[in-house]
Amino acid sequence: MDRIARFRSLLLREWMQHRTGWLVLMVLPSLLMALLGLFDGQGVDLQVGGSQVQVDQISSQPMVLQSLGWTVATTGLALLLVLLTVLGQLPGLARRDRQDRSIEFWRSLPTSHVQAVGATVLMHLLLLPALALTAALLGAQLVTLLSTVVHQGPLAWLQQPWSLLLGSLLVAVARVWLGLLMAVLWLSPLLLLTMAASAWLQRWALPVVTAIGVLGAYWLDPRLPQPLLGPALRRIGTEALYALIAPDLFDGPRHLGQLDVAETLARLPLAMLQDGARVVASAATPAFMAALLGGALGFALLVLRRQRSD
Amino acid sequence: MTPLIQAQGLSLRYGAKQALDDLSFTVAPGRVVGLLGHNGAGKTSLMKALVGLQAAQGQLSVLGLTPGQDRVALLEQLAYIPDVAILPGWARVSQLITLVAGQHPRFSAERARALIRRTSVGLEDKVKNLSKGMVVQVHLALVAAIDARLMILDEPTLGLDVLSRKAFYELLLDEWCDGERSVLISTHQIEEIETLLSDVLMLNEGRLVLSLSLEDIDRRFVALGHDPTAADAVAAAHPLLRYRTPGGSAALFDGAPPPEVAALGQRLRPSLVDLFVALTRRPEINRNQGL
Repeated sequence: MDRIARFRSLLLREWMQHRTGWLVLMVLPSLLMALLGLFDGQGVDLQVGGSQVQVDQISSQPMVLQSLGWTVATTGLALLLVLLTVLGQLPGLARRDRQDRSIEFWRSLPTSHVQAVGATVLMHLLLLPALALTAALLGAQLVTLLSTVVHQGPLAWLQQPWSLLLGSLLVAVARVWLGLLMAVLWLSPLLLLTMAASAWLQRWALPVVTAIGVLGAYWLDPRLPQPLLGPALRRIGTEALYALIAPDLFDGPRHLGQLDVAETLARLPLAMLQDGARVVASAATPAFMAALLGGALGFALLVLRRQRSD
Repeated sequence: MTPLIQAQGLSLRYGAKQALDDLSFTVAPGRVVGLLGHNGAGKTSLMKALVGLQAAQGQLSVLGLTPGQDRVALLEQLAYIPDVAILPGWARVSQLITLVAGQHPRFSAERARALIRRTSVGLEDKVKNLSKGMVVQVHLALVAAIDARLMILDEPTLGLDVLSRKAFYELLLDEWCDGERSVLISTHQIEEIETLLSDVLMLNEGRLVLSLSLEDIDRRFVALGHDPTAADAVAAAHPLLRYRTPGGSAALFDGAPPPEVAALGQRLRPSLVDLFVALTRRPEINRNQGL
């Protein structure tokens, strides 16, 4: 039996144990958006900064923009739910097998500690979120279909520029996966050290991590010749956010908005690729290496905890 | 015949506490070895050291491997039920079979299913809905489906009722013990497993106080049943233990008692429980009782 087969089995264990929650997470954003699409019958008047802004119903927009709108909204909601889920699960994840007392059973199987911890981390930080976001991207297309069929009829949906849309969708999937990977790597010191703290300190983990963060940023940093923790946290947060939400595209639509819809769509894959390249380029920095080292330290502490699990 | 387990000068320490102290023993193929000892005697520590889950000093070879260095390779070749083994409650039995099959190269899912069918547990039952006895049976079925030469069981029947214990031992004997594979089993239910055992390892406060086959125990230790009027004379011969029997009193000797003492009673077969009590009672208790 090779290591890969064994690792696959460990990943399968994670799926078996957590599939219900993750399946809900994969379906929920699309379901909510589909409901929204069904009731998209009239525009909304919003009060923004003292002035009245009228937002037309989505179905009154050009077909391509509807499709993009639903895709962005569904994926955005999925991203928010994934973030909340991952952050909520992480501390418990580190203690999960000890809490249900099954740790000795898992340790009695011929699996290395590194593989066991690695499978949990990989599945919960990367694979399941990637699945949820991909499901949202695909689900958004169903939402578009539903909304279009209800408000404009099936013909309108069939008349979309499919080659452009599918191309954009494929690039968007790749961009989401890349963004997730890079965001997790940037955040790995925070995520894995928090997990490790939870594994070692149990219920004291959250107070201790919070205290270290607060003391570091507000007490230690002002006393250092060069502030350390605050800027490091800000950098990690910014890079992770930029990796996830494609900041260049936010600058882009203003520019893209001046173009017609077809041109916008045609330029979107390239814009996403360029943005992805920028995210990858941010990895070629000492800050990214430092983040990886912090993540590796957290991972090593998790492995050590599993090794010494008594 | 190469022993499956060879330990020489094995020691293990948790901070100031000496959990295992200079143990030396071997376990040959085809044996059913009972590991006996009080709570805290070091049984679990020894078993964890044997499967590489606890680092120990000294020389230790299990199935020709060094547990501390070759934990994964070793666990591939033996079957092990740890003392606090609780199967994950979220899993169905069929899922556990799938997962163990994915991680253990010598595990036969088909055989596990066949063994499970012999119990009252269904393949689609969730572990959290099973009684403790059922969970232990499932666990034994899982490890018995591993094609291994050695099985290590750390108090597997702890907390089970008598029917569940009986079912457990039946499954163990029928499906695993074939005269070539060995079992090392720790338990407090000495009377129940005495008839299963071929050898005994007895631990007392981390030290190995006995490592013998049951045949050798019968040859070496002598229990002498005697009349209460002979109690003083028997006590003067310094037996390991004096205890009451339904018909009167008895004394346990390491070796044959002097002929004049042997003549005061009749030779009995020493029970493992009496031997256990004799060899693992704390010295201060022995002193207080004048032994």
